[in-house]
Amino acid sequence: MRSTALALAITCAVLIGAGNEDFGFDPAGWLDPFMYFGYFWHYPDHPPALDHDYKASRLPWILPAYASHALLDTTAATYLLVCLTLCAGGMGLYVLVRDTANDSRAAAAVAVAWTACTGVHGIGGWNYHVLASADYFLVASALAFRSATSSPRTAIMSGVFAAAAVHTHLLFVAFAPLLILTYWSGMAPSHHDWRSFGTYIGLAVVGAFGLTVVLGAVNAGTGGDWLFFVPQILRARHLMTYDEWWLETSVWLPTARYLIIPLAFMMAALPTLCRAGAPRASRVIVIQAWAAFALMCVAQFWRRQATLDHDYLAFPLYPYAFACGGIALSDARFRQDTTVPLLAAAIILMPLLLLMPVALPSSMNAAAAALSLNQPIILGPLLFGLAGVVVFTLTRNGVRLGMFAVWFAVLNAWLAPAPSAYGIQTPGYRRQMLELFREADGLTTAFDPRLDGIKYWFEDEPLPIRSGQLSLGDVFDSYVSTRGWTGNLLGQRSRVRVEELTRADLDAAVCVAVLASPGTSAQRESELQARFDSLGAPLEVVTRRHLKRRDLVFDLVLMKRAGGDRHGPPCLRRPAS
Amino acid sequence: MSVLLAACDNPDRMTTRRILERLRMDSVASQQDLDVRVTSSVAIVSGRVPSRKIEASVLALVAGTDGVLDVINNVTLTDDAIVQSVRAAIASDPLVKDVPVSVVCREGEVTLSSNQTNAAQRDRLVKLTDAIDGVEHVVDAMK
Repeated sequence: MRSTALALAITCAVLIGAGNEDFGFDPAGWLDPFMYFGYFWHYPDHPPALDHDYKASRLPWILPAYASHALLDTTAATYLLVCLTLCAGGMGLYVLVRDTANDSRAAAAVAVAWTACTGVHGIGGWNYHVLASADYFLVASALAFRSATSSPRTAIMSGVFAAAAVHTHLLFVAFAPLLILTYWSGMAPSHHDWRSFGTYIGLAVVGAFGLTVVLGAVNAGTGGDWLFFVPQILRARHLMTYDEWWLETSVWLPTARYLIIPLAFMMAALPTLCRAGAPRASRVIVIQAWAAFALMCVAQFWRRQATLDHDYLAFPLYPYAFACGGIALSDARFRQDTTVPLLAAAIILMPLLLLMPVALPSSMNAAAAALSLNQPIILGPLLFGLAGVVVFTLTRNGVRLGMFAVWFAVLNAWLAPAPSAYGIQTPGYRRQMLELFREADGLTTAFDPRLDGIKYWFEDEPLPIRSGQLSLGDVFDSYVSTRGWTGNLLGQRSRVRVEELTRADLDAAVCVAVLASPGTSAQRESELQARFDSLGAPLEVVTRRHLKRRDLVFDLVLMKRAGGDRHGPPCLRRPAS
Repeated sequence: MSVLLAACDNPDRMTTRRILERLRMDSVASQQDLDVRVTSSVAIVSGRVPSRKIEASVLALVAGTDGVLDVINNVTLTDDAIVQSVRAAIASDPLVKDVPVSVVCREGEVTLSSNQTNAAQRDRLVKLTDAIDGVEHVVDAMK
């Protein structure tokens, strides 16, 4: 276990140290992951712009992240969370596969694969809740299996982690029956009885209920609601009647590269079902994976609820799919070998550091264009994935592990959703952007402590940076997401033109913040002042700031209506007297 | 390593230290109960002072400190100063100057108590008090 933990830590360190500043940070233009920063930075204040959103329900992710950001600098906190989320899932997977398949080598190899998987990195955004929920579920599964032969405390803890998974991502409630099956598979065949089942379920419920009460108490103690989970349930109910994210199969399937690795693992594990001598628990894992996939297919194709049509929605399949990868690799005759996880880490990381994520897709596109093939993006890796499954299923012993590592390494690099995040000394901007956001957050929070007094206004404009050109409109959209986005946009729309702004838009604000490049900020400021002058509401400047990190730069001009009280935070929304 | 160094070398923390040192060196400001926090070069000054003159000198000291780009003023007058101002205002008003009234102030909330007032006097006393600088709320406990 120690060598696996070391391999996972080294994997994280190499990815962070050798990759560019994009690794571990979300790109400009993304909204939801940046909204979580609003919670990470302001959770105990329960700002109205954030507190009424269903995302506020996800306390098992928000609270540890809030603690990290409260104790550490933003960049250090981000790296800590990156390492924790990648390593926690890897360790949960390692224990689950080691215990169910009785093969610590296979478990170590697949745990490293999880931590180094480009489809796991920043799924839905590095600060999105999905990866944390999968981590919790993996740990809950490992503990559920152990509960059958361990102390009652293990069963309670499995309930705690299961509840954490569900509170972080409500979809995992659908997998709760599968967890009970995991417990059953951990029992010796001679000990299958309803009483043990009842005891386990009772203890797990105690753990789940205990965590829920603790989270509710923390939320209520800081000024929020006891029933913190209700908004997420209401949101799920709404999506069950009409899911606006659902896509037609013809739209998403040709680009569903994120399903290649999980389905390859699940197919590779299928022979385990009829392999003589395979541990019963291994077979159960394979059945669980296909059952989970079947559930998601029913939701996607029959109920028309989005579960497979976006990578972050399909991600709950990954824990079982990766466990299947470990099952497919396993061979109970082999004992622990401390070099395996380190070797697997070295092989899997190599293509990422050799910039294959960038080179492979472009060479594949060129080849496909030469052959006049359609859908080259999915076809190449899909064929490679299936061929690899056949090869590593037919091989044995150490050769199988080696084949797996090489196959996974290439496929992993090929499928990288964000190729620019890997490689040595390649330019990035995201870390600097987050640091700028934190500075702007401190500034605007000082003027507007409840985050609902300042309404932001900006237009789109290009900003040249080392890796090309960046849309400042995207940068500003991401920043305003840390304040709930539309509710704090002037005119409630992004990039609204100045002539479209009305007096009512200004009346909804205590202050207005103009975001612009240094070259245009004076002009934007004048335009906005002229607009509201013409509407009979002159504005005066509260402060002007020039925010800069390396080649990422923008200006923030804070304005409010002329006159008024100068005592206290100038943009604080005061209750009407 | 650069991340760790940046965390230790926080410019706002250094600015806070500079402000506190400046206030400590000033003979008047050092006597006041003040709290200073700096975030993104915005200094937020809180506390209670006995007069607006002292408040202005404190704010000027903070604003003139290296690293401070903006100052947010959360400074309020002390309760004693508010009580004195209320009493002075009452004493100079012909309608209520002879009314025996007790004035108590707690964190800007002023409570007026008396059992020898009529409706017109009560109305005037509340209005006078409400107009005093630093008064956030008036509680009318007069009969």
